[in-house]
Amino acid sequence: MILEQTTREFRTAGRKALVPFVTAGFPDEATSLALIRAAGETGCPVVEIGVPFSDPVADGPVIQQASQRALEQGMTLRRAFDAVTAAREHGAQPVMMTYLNPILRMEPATFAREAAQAGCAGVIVPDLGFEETGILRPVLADEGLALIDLAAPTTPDDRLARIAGPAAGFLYLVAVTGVTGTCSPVAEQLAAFAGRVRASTDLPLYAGFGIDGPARAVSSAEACDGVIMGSALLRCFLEESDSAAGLERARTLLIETRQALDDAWGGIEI
Amino acid sequence: MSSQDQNPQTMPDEKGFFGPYGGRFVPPPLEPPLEELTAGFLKYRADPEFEAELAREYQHYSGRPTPLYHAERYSEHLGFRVLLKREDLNHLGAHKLNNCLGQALLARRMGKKKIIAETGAGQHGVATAAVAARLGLECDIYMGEEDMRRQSPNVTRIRLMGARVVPATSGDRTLTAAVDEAIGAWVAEAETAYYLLGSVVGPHPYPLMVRHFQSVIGREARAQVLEQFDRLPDLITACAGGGSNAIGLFHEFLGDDSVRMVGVEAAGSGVDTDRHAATLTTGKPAVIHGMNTYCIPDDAVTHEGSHCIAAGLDYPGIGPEHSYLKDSGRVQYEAVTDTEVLAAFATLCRLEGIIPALESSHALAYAEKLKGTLDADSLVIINLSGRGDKDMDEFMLRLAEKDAASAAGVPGHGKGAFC
Repeated sequence: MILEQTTREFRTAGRKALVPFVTAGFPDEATSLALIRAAGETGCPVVEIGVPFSDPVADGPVIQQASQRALEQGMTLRRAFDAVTAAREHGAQPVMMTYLNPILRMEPATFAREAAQAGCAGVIVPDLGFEETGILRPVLADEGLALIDLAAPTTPDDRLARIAGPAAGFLYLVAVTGVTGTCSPVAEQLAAFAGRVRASTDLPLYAGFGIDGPARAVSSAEACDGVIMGSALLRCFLEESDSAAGLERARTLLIETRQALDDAWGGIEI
Repeated sequence: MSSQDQNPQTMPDEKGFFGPYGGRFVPPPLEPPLEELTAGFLKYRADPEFEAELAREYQHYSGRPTPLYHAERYSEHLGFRVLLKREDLNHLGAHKLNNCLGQALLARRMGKKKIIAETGAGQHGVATAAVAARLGLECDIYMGEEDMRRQSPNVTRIRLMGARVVPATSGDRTLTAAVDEAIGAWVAEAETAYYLLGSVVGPHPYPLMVRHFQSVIGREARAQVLEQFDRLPDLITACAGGGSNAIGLFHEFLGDDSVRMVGVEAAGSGVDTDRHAATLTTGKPAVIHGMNTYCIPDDAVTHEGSHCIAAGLDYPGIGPEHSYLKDSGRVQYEAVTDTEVLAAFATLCRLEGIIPALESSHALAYAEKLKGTLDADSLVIINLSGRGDKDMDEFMLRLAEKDAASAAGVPGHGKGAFC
């Protein structure tokens, strides 16, 4: 699978991945595409594209607000494929984050085929419990797409081992006990958690939830192979008066975070 | 999403599936606390001491057993015998307390110090605050900022009983925001906090657990009807939003093949409009709120939007067991409009001196439709799930509209729902 090839190569190069989370259609469709382009130009190997949903139980207030704004402007699962294609064109592997219901509405096999055609490399479904992954993993695999599994600090060891078995692409570590963007991970706790996961798999581990800036990205990346930044980026648009100013601030945040990670792990010049 | 063919009385299976419905569709951080909850519930459900403790609370705190009342004048009006299961006579005026008491006792047994709950119109928040006060547990009630404004008397009630009302400020600042923020808070403090869900919805084990605590309704009703009439009823009916009072009544009768069961949904302004909450009548299966169940569709991506006169039925999904019972044909589901509900409400007030909740009035409105189809000896149990005092503002508004309309001489408004 192309996704896992990318994540493993990035690790082999001695670099830590920065994965931005972009809600498709927020603050508007054009600006979300511009942010995806900025992510590709900043050297993000993977971009997570969030499909807005009306009941995002795993997400904190910032992503909820972004989702709602995107829905109000008519964003749909099918239209989000344009964002996927844009990410691929700008050199990043697109991973879609969508709740289960929109996929079921489209039919899993249809979704997998259309996502693959759009250039998608992997899919994250936060409300798909591990026991139910059978309805999705095989049809995604048929199209060369990875189903990204999630693990939480409270996930017991035996369950971690079961999750790690079929996992592909990278493993998403939910770095805090909570929803996205409400509190931040503590480096020592994340290290202990990542250590438990490493006992079960050598897949690249990416940590998300609560990565609020360059410093937290560096401290969280210590124990992992990459970090996922969502709420902090989207907040730029909520706090700025217009989308151009928000985009500029988000782009700066991406560049500074990328630079901080490269400074810490001796990466190449951007 | 499947499980083997099962006996409806032994469902759900160990993963919480009722046929294809139910289950647990949640993000990983929610799985461990739900596992702990499942283990705790299964342990204490079988514990005779716990059962005795709950029975004492039902009797002395809530006032159970509630009467099964033969409403004679109402029966005469309908042309068959009607028995009202008086859940409105519970402490706080609704069946909600049955579940809250059960779960709060469970929370205490599990060593939890704090109860977290969400509330929309405020009824579940009030019942939860009451049991938390009764058991000396800390209590946070999440409520959308917009709902807090609209339901300020319930905010006051919750605060009077010592609970904290946490305003939910995200999204539309109503129930959805309250659910999301309450779940977020629970995940962060799951070690010491207990999430008390108010209906037979959500991820496993809630549909199973809430049914367990509500099935006291049907257990009592079945024993009472046998004692009073020496036979089973021909038909039993209840309103269904999330569906907890209906499951509570139906569960004990599932094995009685001669008993017809009807769940009554809210058709709001009509099922052919976009203002209704008739999930099973118009919806299709979807995964929402941690479960697979029928849901009112809107567009390809999201689900939202339900509307009816009774806030307690205003929910776009329904308990997964109802979805199964619909597909299996064991329970029939019908929908009644706001207008029909108001007429039935007024009839019961006038004939029996009982003011029912607008939610419960949906079951009454269905009974009106049975007029002329049943013989005089037929026995029908209607679950009167709550009292209507909470709905006075709505009635006053409707009466004012009616008065204004008749003063203006608008044709057709002279004989409104209250006549």
